[in-house]
Amino acid sequence: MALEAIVLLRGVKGRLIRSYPLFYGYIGSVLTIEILRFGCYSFKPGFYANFYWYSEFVVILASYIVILEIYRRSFKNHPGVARLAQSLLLLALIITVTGVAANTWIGGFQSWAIAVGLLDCDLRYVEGGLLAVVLFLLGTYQISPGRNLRGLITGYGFLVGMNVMNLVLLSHPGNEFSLLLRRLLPVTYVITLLIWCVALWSPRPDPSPPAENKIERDYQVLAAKTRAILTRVTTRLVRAIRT
Amino acid sequence: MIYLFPILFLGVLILVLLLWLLWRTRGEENDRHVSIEQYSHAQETVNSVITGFCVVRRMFAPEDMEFISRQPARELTSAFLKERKELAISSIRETRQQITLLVNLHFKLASYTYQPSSKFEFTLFANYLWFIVVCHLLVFSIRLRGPFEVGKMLEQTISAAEQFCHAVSDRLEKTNPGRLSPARQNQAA
Repeated sequence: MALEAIVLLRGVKGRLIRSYPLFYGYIGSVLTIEILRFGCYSFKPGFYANFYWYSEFVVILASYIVILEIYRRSFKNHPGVARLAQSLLLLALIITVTGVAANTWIGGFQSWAIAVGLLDCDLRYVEGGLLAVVLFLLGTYQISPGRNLRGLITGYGFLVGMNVMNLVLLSHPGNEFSLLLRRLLPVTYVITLLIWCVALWSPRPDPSPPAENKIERDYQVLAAKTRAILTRVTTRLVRAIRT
Repeated sequence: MIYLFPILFLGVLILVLLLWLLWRTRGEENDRHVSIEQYSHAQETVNSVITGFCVVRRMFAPEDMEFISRQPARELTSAFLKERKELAISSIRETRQQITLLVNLHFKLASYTYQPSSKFEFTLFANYLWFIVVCHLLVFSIRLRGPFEVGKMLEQTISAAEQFCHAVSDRLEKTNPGRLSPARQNQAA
């Protein structure tokens, strides 16, 4: 909670909250839910288990806006790739949601608490799928995030990756690795918060978009464009000769 | 337990992709901007690769071998075969390197255009992977059977490379050169 509060306070002080409102909204909601959980555990411990799972559902839904933030900020200056990302994300969402729905349908409905718990797991998997798509596109197109965004992505990627693996391995209790991971789970979140703390301590400028036309470069630009057209003509000519 | 493997794979994949992204985007921001020089160089590379296909085809043509085998000296045939094999392999490697440079630049240039469509990008990526696989197979076959027994595979490789070059030249044409970094900036870096 202290680290979350520090991230939030630094965001307000450094005015990063204006650049990353969705991310800070997520941190704020997590902090609020943790305070509520603490209150519930202290005053109504019997209700804590149910409250935990329902609130976890809200936390996971809120974490989706971090993907949205990463998508919004990373592809800001890359409209073509953003369109590609949009269709890929939609595809990944449809595939994973279909898989998850099929799993739930096969598993059957037992109780609301169990259903919410399972839905939490499934939402994490969907989130993992979406994040994998975003990371793949950023890496393939070598889109460079600024220092702040890089830290945000690193922390979030680490958290989601570890969470997905933990969820898989924790569903097989009793083995040594699973027990070790159970202890590692809170540490993962602390490491994530530390990454965010360091990366978002102070605002850093985002990479500038490629500059638009400058008069002194007009000749170079014209020459390059002409060469591009010539290249195109050559390739068409070679194709025509071959056929 | 088996149904959990895809999810475990997803978790590992996210961490691997994260490390890959950090590695790919390391260094200065200016290094990742494409300069006019790089852009022009890519155009020259596309041209040289496309026009070079005729030379590659000639290199693998059986006529030379037929001519040499008609000569009385046996050592000449084996020396010619050895030399042609090395030449063919080095030529394939060079083309592969050029295509790899082009694919990297192609992806960088996606930021400078409004054009990329999902279908086009997937086809291109698949073409590239296919080209790399066929290149390795071709080198393996040349080592095994010599340069004059790989006609069909050679055509596959050249066809994959051609498709790729056409896609890249399409991207180069649709790129807005006005947004490229000036050459001087790159030289200073």
